[in-house]
Amino acid sequence: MLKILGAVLLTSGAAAFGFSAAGHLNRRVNSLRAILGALALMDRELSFRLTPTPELLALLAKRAQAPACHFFARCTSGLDHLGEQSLCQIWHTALVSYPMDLSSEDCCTLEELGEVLGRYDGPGQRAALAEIHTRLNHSLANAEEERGRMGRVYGALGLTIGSFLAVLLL
Amino acid sequence: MRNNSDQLAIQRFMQAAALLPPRQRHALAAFSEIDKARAEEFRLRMGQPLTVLLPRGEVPVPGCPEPIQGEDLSAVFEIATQASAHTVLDRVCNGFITVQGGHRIGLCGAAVVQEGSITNLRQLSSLAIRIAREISGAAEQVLPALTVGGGLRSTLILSPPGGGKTTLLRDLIRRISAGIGTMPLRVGVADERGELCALYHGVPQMEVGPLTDVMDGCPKEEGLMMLLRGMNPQVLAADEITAPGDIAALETAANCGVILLATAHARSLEDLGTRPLYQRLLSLKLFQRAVLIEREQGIRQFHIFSLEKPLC
Repeated sequence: MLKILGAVLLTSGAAAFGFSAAGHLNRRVNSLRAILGALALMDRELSFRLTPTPELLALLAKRAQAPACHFFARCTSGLDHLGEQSLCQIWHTALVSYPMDLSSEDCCTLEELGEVLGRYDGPGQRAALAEIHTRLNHSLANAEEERGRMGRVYGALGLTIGSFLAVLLL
Repeated sequence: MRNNSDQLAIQRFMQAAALLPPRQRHALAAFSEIDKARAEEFRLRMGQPLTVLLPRGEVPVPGCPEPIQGEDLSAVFEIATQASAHTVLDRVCNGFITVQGGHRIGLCGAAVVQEGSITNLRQLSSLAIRIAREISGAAEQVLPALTVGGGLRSTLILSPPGGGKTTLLRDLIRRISAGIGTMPLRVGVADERGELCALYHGVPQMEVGPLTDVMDGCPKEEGLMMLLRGMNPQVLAADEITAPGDIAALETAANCGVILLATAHARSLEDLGTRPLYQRLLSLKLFQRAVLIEREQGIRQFHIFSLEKPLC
């Protein structure tokens, strides 16, 4: 009886591990889509209104899709410390504390935006936004491709390894 | 016991000090209350310690002997603009920005010139933070002489630079808009340089009255016309008439029956009349009153003229 219980636990644990890995791929895709949407909104705001940075971040915290909205909310609350910290540091802190399931490469790309935001004229910031948008769009294409390719594999692999270990145990 | 104006001045001092990085801010907080109330400017120069401009001159800040670094100047700029340089670049080209509270930050540094025009400052070298002051009551003795039978007359305020034209104009706007000493009127203000109302996030940082509409940051000519078309003003106000376009816009407004309030640099009416731009302004008879501000033994004196005959 104990052996059967152990086998079930092993199988389900390994399967959960596999599905979690697949879920991470899914969440990364969703995060990238939300961020790309937010960047497009940011571009429009800078283009037509030259929106001040605090207002811009607050707007994105309100209107961007999750999980990007939560990241921008952290940036907005971090602005209370402007003076003790630069915007660049505030952006970095928000990104480190809430990486949104992004890859380290995605995070590096997004971090570059923190070095540009609010420092240059509208066209300068929009040019940087366009470049970051392009790179993150490329990341999204890769993430979608990886999710399609590996998502089911991770789930099946977890289930298979769990079953294999269960067979060994029994 | 401090009076209300001292308390207000100390509040404004601390508000302006909040624009500085923590080290300098804390040193300024330890300044004496008397000096806080009298302080006019903070001066930050690269490689020199922070100083405060008082009536007796520039004095160093106790507890802050370290020289100002480039990152200090950048930090002030970032705090002052709320990390939004893109919203103030047009003002940077004019050499100053106005921030929350109406404080004015004069900027100095290496200019970026493109196609013959300054587009930005590459490296800041000095900042002068002028602490905002309001002198409510500046227009109290002037306003009665600008009205005839309860009706306000179009008025041109004259003085040399630094004579108090803007302060007088602002207090006139406040009184007219609030109906103090006259019937309340809708006032449109074309505040090209942000000095009159110091609009910040849509809110005037200076007291300019409840019936005042402000067009901030756009050239006076366009600002006056937009106000005229869109806001149905009864009074239009503009600081420092300096271009033919400004006069054309004032002429259009006067033809629509709007009362005008404006200022110009001049030491006297005769001085005004010697300049071709103002000769045209006078020949159009857009203004019925002129207020000349002079300093006599350090005290501001207001001389009011009818532009046909002297009143006093």
